[in-house]
Amino acid sequence: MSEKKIVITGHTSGIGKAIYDKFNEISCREIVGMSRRNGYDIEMDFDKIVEEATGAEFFINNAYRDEQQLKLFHALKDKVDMMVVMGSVSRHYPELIPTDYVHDKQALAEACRLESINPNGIPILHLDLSFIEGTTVSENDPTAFISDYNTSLEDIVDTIIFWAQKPSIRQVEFRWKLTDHVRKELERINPNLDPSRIQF
Amino acid sequence: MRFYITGSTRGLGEFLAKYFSCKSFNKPLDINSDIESICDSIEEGSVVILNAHASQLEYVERLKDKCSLVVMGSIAAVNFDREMPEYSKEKWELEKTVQQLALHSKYPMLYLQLTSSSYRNYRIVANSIQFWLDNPDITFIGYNINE
Repeated sequence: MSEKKIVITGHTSGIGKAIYDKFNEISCREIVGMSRRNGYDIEMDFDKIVEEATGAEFFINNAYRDEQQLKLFHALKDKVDMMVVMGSVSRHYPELIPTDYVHDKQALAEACRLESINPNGIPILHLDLSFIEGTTVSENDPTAFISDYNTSLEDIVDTIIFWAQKPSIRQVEFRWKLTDHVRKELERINPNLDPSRIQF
Repeated sequence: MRFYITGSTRGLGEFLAKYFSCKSFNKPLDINSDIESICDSIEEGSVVILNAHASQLEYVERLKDKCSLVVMGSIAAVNFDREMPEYSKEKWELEKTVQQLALHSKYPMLYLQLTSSSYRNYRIVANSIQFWLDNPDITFIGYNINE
């Protein structure tokens, strides 16, 4: 019988790396990282990821690319014991951040919500993350920006560890602070924005 | 740190009052009609658990710049309860208001979206609040319905 394992997508940078490193430090389970760099592209290698993650005790659905994160959610929600899904608090503000990213994160959150009312569903934690410490953004993406108020990687990792012992929790949201810097960036990426929409 | 709680005579409120050694507001004070005197009596910088449903939104507005707040919400805010439409509506307004205020509140604010099962699981609610005290950037914790 194979030993239970913990699988993390997008484990080579950012929050994925922080989780991967912490679990390697504290868990006696096998920790499996799946990223493009080691041959697990969530689009190109989708079937391989599903096959190898099946049976995992813990699947951390972290890597984002378009709809692939949602597809992985559906493909694995009946094939692993527990799942953590990295969402974004930006999904609450589609008018402020009218991007495909926000749309995808909305769809992901709704899928998690529906699963939470499935009587046969596995424990799933949907994390609505704020801007994360150490985030890097693509220079080619005109809608990307870095906030000057961040959630620490440690707080997010601590939350996952807390949830692993309290799987009755289904959703945790982190503060998304509207600083002057963020306000200016929102106006930059969304020139049609009515400024009154950012008076929270 | 000093803790206060509204609605502590039974159930979850009673448990949390003991767990966090809260100061409670019981008779002759009335949660609905003595809002001002209750708010005035709360020490700045303390933690207030708004457990009683009565006048919850008003307490949030009055206390948001004075204390850290834990607000007891309900899944009825997003899963409309046809048998209690007013309750659902009030909880929805409460949830939206707290989510907005939590973006800029001077003090940390936590909204707990309780379900019928989590409402009876006193310890997980207490543990959630304790975890938030250590991780005050968390603004929302929701619980499973499928239990």
